[in-house]
Amino acid sequence: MRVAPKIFHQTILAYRGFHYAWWALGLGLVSWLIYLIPNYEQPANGGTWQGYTLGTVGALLIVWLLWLGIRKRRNDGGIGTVQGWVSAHVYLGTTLLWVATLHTGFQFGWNLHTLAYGLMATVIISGMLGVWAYLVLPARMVRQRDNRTRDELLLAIVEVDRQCLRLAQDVHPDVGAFVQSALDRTVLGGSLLQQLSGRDRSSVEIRGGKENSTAQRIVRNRNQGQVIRALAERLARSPGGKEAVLLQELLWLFARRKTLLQQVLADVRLQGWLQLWLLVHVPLSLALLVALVLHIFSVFYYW
Amino acid sequence: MEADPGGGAVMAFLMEQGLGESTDVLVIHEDLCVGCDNCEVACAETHGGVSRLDRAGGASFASVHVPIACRHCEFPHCMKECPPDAIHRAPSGEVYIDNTCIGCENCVRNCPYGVIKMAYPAPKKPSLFSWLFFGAGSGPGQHHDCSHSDDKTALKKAVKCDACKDLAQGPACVRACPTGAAVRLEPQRFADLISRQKGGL
Amino acid sequence: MRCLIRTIAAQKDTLEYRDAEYVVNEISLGAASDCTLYLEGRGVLPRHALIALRRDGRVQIRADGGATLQINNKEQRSALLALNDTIRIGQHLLTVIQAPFGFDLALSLKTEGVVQEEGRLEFELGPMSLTEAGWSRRRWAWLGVLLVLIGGLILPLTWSLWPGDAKARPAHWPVTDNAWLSGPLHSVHRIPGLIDDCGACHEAPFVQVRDQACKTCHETPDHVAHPEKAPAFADQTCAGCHREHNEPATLVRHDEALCVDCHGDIAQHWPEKTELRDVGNFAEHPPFKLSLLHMQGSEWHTTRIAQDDPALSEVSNLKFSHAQHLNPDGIDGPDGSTVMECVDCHQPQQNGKLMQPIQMEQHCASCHSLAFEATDPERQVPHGKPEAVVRALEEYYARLYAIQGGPVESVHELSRPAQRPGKPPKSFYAAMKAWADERALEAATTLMEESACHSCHDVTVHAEKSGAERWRVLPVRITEQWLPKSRFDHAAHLQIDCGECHAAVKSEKTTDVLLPDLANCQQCHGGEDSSSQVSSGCVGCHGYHPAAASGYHALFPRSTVQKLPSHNSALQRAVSQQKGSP
Repeated sequence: MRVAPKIFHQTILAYRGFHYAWWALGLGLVSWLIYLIPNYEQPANGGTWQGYTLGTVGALLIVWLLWLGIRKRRNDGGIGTVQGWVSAHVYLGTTLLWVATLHTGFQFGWNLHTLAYGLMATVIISGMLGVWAYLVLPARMVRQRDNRTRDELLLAIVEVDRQCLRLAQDVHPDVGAFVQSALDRTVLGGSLLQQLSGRDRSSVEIRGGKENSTAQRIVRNRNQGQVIRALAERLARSPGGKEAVLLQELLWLFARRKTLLQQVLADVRLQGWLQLWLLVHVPLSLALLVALVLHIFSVFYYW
Repeated sequence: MEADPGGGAVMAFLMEQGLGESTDVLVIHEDLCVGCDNCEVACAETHGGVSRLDRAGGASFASVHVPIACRHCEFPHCMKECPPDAIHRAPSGEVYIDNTCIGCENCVRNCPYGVIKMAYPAPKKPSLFSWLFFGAGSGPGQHHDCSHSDDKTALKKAVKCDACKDLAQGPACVRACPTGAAVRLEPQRFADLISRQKGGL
Repeated sequence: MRCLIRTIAAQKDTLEYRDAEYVVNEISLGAASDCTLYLEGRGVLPRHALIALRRDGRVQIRADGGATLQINNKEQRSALLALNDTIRIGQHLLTVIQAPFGFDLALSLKTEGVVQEEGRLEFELGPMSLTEAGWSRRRWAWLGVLLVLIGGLILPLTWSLWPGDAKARPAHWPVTDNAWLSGPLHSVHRIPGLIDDCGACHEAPFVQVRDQACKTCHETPDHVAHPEKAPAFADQTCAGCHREHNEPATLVRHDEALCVDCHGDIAQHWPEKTELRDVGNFAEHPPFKLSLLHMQGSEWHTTRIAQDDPALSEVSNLKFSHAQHLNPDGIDGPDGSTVMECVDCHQPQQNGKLMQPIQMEQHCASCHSLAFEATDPERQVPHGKPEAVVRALEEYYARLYAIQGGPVESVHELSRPAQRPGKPPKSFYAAMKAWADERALEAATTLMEESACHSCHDVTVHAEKSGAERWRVLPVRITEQWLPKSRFDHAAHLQIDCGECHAAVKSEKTTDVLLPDLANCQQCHGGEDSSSQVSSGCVGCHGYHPAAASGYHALFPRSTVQKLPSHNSALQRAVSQQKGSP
């Protein structure tokens, strides 16, 4: 049996006592010192000897950072643990922003070179957002789900819905149809923006204002508000007795339903934020790789 | 709706999960786990494409999650009534099923924790790069239905976690977790687990 | 209350019963370890429900906090229990069974797996993750890669390799090789032919800009006349020092290191050049070396001599005392006593840099008259060689004699005596010539040896010679450019009084070299990094590329030399293309 490490359950930032943070600081300091060495021939730019040095360091860093995508999928062999790689990736990726900025000599323009720099900066900043997301969101997600899985929440909704339908039919067919439409028109999930907003886009079909009217219209049933309001009104008008009891049960069930739906919506929203940064980080880092190669190519094409 | 139970409650939870009789159990910290399933991917990739770990399943309590995976019990329940005597304990302590399994499912029934499943061998996968660049074939550890197979001569066998006894660097699930949420512990280390939970990250 | 709990553990084919007896006031159910009945798993709160015996003997179950109970498949918060009632808490199913004798309540407890039944929602789930909503990292990665390839390589490269010359390229192209610019061109290079054609300077791919590209327009002498003889310059290229495409745009290096890297230690870089002295910055500059004009034989030569060399003296062959001329009490002139100033003789050139050369006719003649005849003071001899002086004198006196008809004492007494008709006798012309020659020689001797000529020129008397050959006057050349290897600009120093740098007031001898020495300049000028003095690098006075000596190019000694437009075929082509002519 392999013994578990002495320290475990550390965040990627605190991994091994912020081991890689020191590496990153050291590299940043050395880069700055290289930059500060005076060069009389020309103003600071990527073509001085300092520029070439920092550029080489930056390019090697970029290739190594991209290699994480391969390493994390290499389960047989590979050096260290994936968490170690991720910790190093985060710290050295942050230092890359510093090293690359020194490499530019702060000369920017509308050209391929600044495009590569811009792609790199966007990748790094999206990565920082990812670190924040990974540190903060998982705990939030678990707590707001009462420690249940999303599937369990959905099953609970199934159960609640079944009871709602039965009770509603017992009250009156109209109420049954009303509740049925509320259930049919419940909306969970959607496009990227809809998922991230976490808003309830459910609706319900209302038959006119009076019971005899056949006019139909669809109104918003956000957070089951429309249904709850309608049921409460009907309860207020109710003569009492069995119908009142049933209506009260129905109200309580819909309140429960609202909570469950909100939990699922919040779970989808938080999971969306947990993964959104990757949609920027991964594609742009590959575009950056190509831009980096072309940057080096064009620099030596028109040497 | 969340109490802070205190260390004793967490220990009681672990004991109720049957971890008292375990020797090597995978424990996941829910505040670190981002649900990337890299642990399952790693398990599948190092074991012929069939994952022996169910990350999402299993019980949770106070940010401690015990996924459904073999705990390598001190007195393994699965070893009883195995007709070909296919289940052994390695000298280093891991309980594993060798390839003489005949698929009788006795061990599946006997295990009180449901960590053993029956699976057909997984089909061969294309190279990593062709999946990465072109999405060709199923990716690393991507779930495929191992409850049936196109190969008529294939046999459904019992599979379970073997703590990666054949891998030089140790359990793949722990090494593959990018956030450090997964750790394999023996009962002597549970006190560390609880103090880490209480002390926060 | 006495309660029996029967736990049923169900495996695939077997059932296992375990009975437990509880004698408590209340049965607490939940996930906390101090509950009477511990129920683990998802959906179970630490304190989920309480079962209590009411006074009327009925058993009631109550949900605690925000817990939910499913009692008989209905979500309820509390209920009175009867036989066969089912209570679902999380994955656990409690059923009220027949209580044995002596017990108030009996429950059976069955714990199920996570998914107990297939449930179907009444509504369709939309996409519940980013991947389900169609967002694929792989697809966006390919899109990004393709965009960068097209915009960063395909389009600019096609433009760059377009067949034909720069004119053949299409007028509108989405991305030209301007995308590969690493910085703007210096504004002086933003001319047609350069700004629209990278290949004008970058002639071959993957090769640094070669000297011949620069020399298409710039005709510049190198730092040394024969670079092949100086190992230090063997590898130098234009691009080694002149870098384009920078911000701030800096084509020309002004720093000291450009020079001091070699001139700081000549022995290391060019040991054969023993005459060059090491230079640090201006504070550590060796004494200036002057170019001294002097006569050797009958020709003028320039010698380089250090200013601190005791042998240094001006050998212009002129006699002049600055002290005398700058006498603060005045010097006698034609208008009486005149106080002279430097500017009376020394005027700056049009460009303000150096002083105009001293010309006798312009600067000296107003006081130094070349008159020779007291009675005819307006008449002067030409300022020329002795032969010309004597000839002029002879002609003057001969004319007088011719007018007078005989010797003349005074010009004023000229009168024409009565003439006998007919030609004068032969003896008249001989007598005229003899008298004229005699008088001329007299006047010339006075001029040459006593007055006008003598006072400024070095006249050697050869008494044995006759006529004009008696006197030899050494030609005068005043050095105009003492420091040809540097650029001094008087215009920048006009605020300073002449005497602050040039010790003219005290100078009595012509041989004094009145050029200020290094120490004088160092009163104000310090090294490049000086913060207490005028910051003076090397390039401020010296140029890296030496200026050409004469002609058109000498008008612009400071700049690198541009070819005249007629010589500049590239520029001419670009200009003619702009005009539309073939």
